[in-house]
Amino acid sequence: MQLLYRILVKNHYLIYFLLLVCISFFILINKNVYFQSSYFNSSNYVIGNLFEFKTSITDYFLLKELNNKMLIENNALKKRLLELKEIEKNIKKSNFIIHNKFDLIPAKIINNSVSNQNNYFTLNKGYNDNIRVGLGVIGSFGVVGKINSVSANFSRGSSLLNSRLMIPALLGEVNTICTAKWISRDPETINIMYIPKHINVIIGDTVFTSSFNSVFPSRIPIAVVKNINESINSNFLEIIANLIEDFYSISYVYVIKDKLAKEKKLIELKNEK
Amino acid sequence: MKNKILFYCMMFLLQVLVFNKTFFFNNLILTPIIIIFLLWNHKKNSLFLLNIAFIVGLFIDFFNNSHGIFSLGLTLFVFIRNYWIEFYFVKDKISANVFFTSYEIGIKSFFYYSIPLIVIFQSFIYLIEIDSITNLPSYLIKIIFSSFFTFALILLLQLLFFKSNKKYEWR
Repeated sequence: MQLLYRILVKNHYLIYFLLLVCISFFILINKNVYFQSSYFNSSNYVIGNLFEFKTSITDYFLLKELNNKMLIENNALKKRLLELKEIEKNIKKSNFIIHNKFDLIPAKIINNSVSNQNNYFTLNKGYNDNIRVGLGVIGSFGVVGKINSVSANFSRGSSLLNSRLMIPALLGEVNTICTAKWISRDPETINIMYIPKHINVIIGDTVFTSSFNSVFPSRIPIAVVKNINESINSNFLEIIANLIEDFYSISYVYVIKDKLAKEKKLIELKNEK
Repeated sequence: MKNKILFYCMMFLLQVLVFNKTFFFNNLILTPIIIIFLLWNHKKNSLFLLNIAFIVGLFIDFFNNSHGIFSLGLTLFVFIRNYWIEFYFVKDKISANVFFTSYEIGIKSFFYYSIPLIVIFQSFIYLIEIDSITNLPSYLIKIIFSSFFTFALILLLQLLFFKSNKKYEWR
């Protein structure tokens, strides 16, 4: 105690000075907005670093637990990988057929409308790039439309948001034949027509392209069922579906060319004769 | 003694009413208030002077809305001066009666004695508000010029308000 008293007496000037400095700092930090923010920023920085340091230490001691968790997760992922490999094998088999039958020509949409009754898009590729009238156009997620007219370097097509375009389609897993047509004038939805009332349609069912014409490959998604209505005056359900492709932001597409389309048309014509 | 108190009050008013409101060359802050603590006779570890510095600083902060900068700066100034005097002056030259004017100790001696203290004080005033290290060169220029002008002003104030029988010479 005496030692402490001696130290205090010996350093009383320094201690008193520090006391005054503390008071000044207190005033400085409490009254001055600039210093207040600097002080809190600095203290937040220090506390943040302290917490980070603390976390790094606790993380180190939790490594064993983390390892076990990762082991379990790894196992699950390996199982999933094996499943996906099986699926990939099947897809490769089917793709082989698709790749042989269809050619994909990448193109960019340079003009597109969504607010008219009949909407069109313009592509930056034309006759010189093997694009012809009647070819189908798909985007990254689903069907976009069909080519209407072609020049040497550009082509124009009707998008799904065109009331004159009708796409033969299949609904859900049971593959009910139907037609997708844009009547609603809402750029996000399309009408699914000619589904008989006895068919059990569920909201969330996907509408795909059918393989009945040579424009699109089969099972390219078009829309997802949003709303189902039963009209008294009609034998068919009134279905509204959300379009898979976002026509507001679409920019890159693929034009699909069916290599065997001519052959198919010839044989169909022969049979008609 | 009465004259001294009057002088100190005048310096305080000069600082508060004139120099705190005026930025020379748009940037420089002159602080002639430190003349009080530069000239004050030296008594080792004087708590009285420390208190005076703190209170004067508080009053300046009150008038200046500087919220603690001057009280901290002047306290620091007096604290450093306490050791600086003992370090700079030969021990036997320091007596409780010595009033550290340029008349008493000579201009050369006053220059070497006061310039480091003025620079420290000015550095504190400017650097406490520095927001980015990139502004440091411009702040250093401000510190140098402010210190120089403050020194000149302190010298001028001594010539105006202090008289001595001693010959005014460079020693």
